[in-house]
Amino acid sequence: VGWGVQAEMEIADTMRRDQVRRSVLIFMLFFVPALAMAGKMVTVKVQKSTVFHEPNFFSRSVVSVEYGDQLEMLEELKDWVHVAFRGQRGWIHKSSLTSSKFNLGTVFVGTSSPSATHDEVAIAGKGFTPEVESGYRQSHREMNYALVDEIESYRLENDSLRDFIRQGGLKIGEAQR
Amino acid sequence: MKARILILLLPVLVGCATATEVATTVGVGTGVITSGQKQAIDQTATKAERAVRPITDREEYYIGRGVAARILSQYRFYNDSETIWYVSHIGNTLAINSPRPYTYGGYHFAVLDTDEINAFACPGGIIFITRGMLKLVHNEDELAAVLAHEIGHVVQKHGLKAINKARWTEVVTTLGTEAARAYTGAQLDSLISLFEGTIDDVFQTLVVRGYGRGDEHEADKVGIGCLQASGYDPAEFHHLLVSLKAAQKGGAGGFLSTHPNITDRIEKVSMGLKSAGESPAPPERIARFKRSASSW
Repeated sequence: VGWGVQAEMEIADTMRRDQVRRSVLIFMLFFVPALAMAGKMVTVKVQKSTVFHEPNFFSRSVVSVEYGDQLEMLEELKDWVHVAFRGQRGWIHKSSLTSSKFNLGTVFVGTSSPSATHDEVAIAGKGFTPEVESGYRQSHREMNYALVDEIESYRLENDSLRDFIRQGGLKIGEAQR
Repeated sequence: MKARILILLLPVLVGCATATEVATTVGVGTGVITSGQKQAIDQTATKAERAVRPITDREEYYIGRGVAARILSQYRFYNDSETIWYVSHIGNTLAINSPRPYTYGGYHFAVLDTDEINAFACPGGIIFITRGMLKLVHNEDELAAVLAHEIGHVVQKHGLKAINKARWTEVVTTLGTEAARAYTGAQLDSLISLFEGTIDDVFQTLVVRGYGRGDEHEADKVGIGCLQASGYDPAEFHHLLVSLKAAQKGGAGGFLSTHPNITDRIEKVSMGLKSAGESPAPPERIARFKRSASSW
């Protein structure tokens, strides 16, 4: 009987140790990457984008973001990133983001000099800029920029696109979720 | 002996900024090169490393606008609001189902008023389709296939590949290492000239020469993915290419002069479609195509 009790105690002890190991493993797998990601800043690299309530283009808009805005990255889900921005949280598509340590404002207004960097947004203050386009337009008046501006000003309403997709038996970006 | 030198050099190597600097430091330490040679190699490498920095999404946008402006100075714009509405809705449906739903300035779709059978994707997402191409397609799914292929070029940034590498290197060299607050007059003149050359590089590929075979296959592949994700029948892509081939036999120019490998593409696309099986188009999709097509 004594041997049996000891054996049971050893088994219980082994099970407890396994449980602890499993808990540590679960913590490592799920929480450590989340902690590592929390606080990482990402920068908006497109003119305008939207932070949605859910990872879906037709979800409610939480906040609009612009080129150079810095967002705190909370988690990733396929092509979507859960972010915090000005006290609000939501989902933004990763194609509108880049990793950056730099404050873009300083690049554009020229109040300080950024370090030499290959970072996409930080270097975008130089190169082919509106200033270069303006110079090109002045010397090439035959180029039809007025029509380009008109084409770019054409915006689709989100509701209109959603109805078009539904009525045509198409899909609402499920692949992106 | 050399191993000992390397160990002694370790603290120095740790402080080196680039792989080239590590190599040249070792080279000096082991007596392979002189310190003067090291300096020259480091300077050249720094220039080269700067040169490889990619074109940003924002620069891609300005290049694309320039290419679009040039196309619009050669073709007439088809200003029919219903057609623009219809094409833009199809295009945006595909774009949100693409691997790159966001570009710097977003996707914009426009129609060129010409009988030429063609479509162009400017870097950054301005996409043109001609009335000739609109007249060629038989249904919304075929029209979606044309736009999906063009979105494929935008996703893969094929237009930017057309830019002369030496020209882009010169752009980066002109910018220099200093984060200047404003361009000097000479810098700006040089950049404007390089911008013009860059636009010309892309325009020549889009409108005159056409993309290479590899880029076309890649755009087809991305396009088929967009069609499937959007719920369009990718088999219509195949039908579209067959129609284009028939038009090619009829001697039509435009698209067919810049997309010469249609037979090859038909074969590749057919292979990629084996597993696809979409439900037939609902009546509303058929009806709206007929309504729009009546004005083309």
